[in-house]
Amino acid sequence: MDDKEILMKNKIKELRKGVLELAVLKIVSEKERYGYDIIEVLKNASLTTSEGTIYPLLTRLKNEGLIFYKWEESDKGPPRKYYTISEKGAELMKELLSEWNNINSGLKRIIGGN
Amino acid sequence: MRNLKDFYAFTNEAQKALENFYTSIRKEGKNNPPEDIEELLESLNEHIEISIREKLRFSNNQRIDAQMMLEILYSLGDPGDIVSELNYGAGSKTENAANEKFNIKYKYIPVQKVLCRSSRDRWVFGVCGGFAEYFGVSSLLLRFLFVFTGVGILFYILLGLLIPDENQVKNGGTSSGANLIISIVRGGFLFFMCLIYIPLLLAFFTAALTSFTNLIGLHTFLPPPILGATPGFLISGMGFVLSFSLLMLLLNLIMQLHFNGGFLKLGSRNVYAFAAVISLIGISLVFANFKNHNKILGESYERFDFKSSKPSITMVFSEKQSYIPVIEKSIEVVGTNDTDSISIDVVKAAYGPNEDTAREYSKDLSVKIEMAPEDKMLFVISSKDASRSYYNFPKLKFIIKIPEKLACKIEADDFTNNYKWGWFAIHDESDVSVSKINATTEVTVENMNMKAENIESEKLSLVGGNGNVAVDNIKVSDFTVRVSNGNVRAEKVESKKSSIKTSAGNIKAVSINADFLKCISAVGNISLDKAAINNESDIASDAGNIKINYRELKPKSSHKISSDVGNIKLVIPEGNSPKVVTSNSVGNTKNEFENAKSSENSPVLNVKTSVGNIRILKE
Repeated sequence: MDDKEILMKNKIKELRKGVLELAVLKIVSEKERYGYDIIEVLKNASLTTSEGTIYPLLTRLKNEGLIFYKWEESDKGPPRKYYTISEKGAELMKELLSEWNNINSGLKRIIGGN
Repeated sequence: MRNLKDFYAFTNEAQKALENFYTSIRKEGKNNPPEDIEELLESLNEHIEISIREKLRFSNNQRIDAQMMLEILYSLGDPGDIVSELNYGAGSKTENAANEKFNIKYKYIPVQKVLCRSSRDRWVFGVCGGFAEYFGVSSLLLRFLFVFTGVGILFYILLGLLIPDENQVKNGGTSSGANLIISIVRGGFLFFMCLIYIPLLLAFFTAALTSFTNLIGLHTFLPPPILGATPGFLISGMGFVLSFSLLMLLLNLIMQLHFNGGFLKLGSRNVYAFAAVISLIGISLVFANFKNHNKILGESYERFDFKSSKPSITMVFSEKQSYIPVIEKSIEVVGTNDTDSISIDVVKAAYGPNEDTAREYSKDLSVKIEMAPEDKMLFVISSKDASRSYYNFPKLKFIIKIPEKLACKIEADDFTNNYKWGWFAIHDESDVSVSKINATTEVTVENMNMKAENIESEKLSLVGGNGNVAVDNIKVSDFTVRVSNGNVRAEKVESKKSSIKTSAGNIKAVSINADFLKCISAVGNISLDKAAINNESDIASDAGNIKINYRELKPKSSHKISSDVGNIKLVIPEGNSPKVVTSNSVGNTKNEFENAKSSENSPVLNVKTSVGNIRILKE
């Protein structure tokens, strides 16, 4: 991997990082999900490369009181932590979403060139 | 935190890699709150366990090796990155009571494997690889089995179509081009199944119904062209349908259990139970049918009653004109043990055109009955229905073979008019006896006595092993007796051609009248009383005396009487002046006709013995 590639990878990581929190909040707001499941959704949407970073993100969001979890048994494997969005998280997500739309439309205006 | 190595088998390298990963996380997070790091490790542990289980589902390997573990850890990412994510844009930490403390007791749940076409171990479709991974057997062996059993290749293609691809299963069945092709192929297959499967199923049930009605005798009340007929192709088709339907049920069951619904979409398992029961009933019916019709050829047509399903019956008929039976081959009834009675209704169609047409088509019928030794057996062969009397068998021939030590009696009634048909019964008596048969009769017995009486027929043939034969009052054109060891006694025999032979035993005949007579005993005396021979006779014994009282010697008739070792005594009735030629090497000769005048028309007697006296006397 040359310097350019490393730089590129880091930039993409930075770009994604900002929206990743919003994406996770949105995913857990729809229904209760466990970590592996959240990663599957993100992977299918091509939003993550290093799966391991989702767990500290979840811990952080939990510490901030935006999401909370409960344990559930599974008949297919180990017990899992199921994450749900909190009231505070839902409010924050709403604001973040509108902010994201602002950013998106602003960016479009710039990138679009017209 | 759950220690994975307590539940899963790791190679040393894999375990070391996992431990290093956790140590690095702890090291990187030494400045973070320890409860955060512990929680993170707990989550990562959960993730790794789920990943391990996913990998094991599609692998024949139960052990987690270094490669498998590194794949999982690589996708998780660098420990430094993971921990630094904890600190990224961190806000103030707030305590949230909703977070539940872990209070579930861990238990190990076995990994549920998935049957799919392998993406790793694949030569063609990956079917063998998939089976090998699923059952933990050698894929190479499976490949050999598929290739070397000819049908295996067809099965392989079928399984390749039915079993989903590994990648497709892993991706949760997301729609793709390949999926579309597979669904089209499966749809086509379902259509094909409907085209072939349903008619065959109907054919199977018709055939099974026929067998069933035959078994319970219901067909007697049904018109034969509908249910009495069981064309050969239906029966052979049944085996195919049965095996095919069972295979399909099995495949569908696999599909139902593993991939949320098979191609038949039948739903509940009760359907399978029902189908299996129906199939089993069908199989048993077919077996019952096969047991009783072990040979049904081509466009054959058969119809019969039997009270017991034990005997095996071979009947071959063919139909050249509507409902006219043409009997071309024999009917064979082979009785087995514990059979009380068998009733065979040979005539099959209930109606037909006129008698002349029917006669033209009918041919010789021969019935062969072979019995096993047992106490009692009753065979009844009959034509019960008057409307069937069109069917006329010009030369009815019964061949009855009775094994050793079976005591029985054979009877047949007169075959009146043109309907040469009657009944036959074998009862429990001391000897075999044949009587009142007005048809060609052949009786073959071993090691038992035979008695034939009051018979008027074209042909009577009595063949025995060890046992005596007694014949009384018979009028048969062609009369044959052949015994290995036993005496023959015949009374009131009238025939064109009589032949009596015994290897060791005496022959005694009273009132025998024949155009041609042959009496031969290898070792034994021959005694004929009131013998009337019209054309030719040959009386011979290798070792034994011969004594003949002639009733009449027809002019121009010729007689040969010879014995190697034994005396010969002939008594010629008055009014005959035969020409006698005698020869003996050792012994006396007394010939009262030595000087008698003979003419061209005189009967000729040729008397010869090597060692013995010859006496030819006037009555």
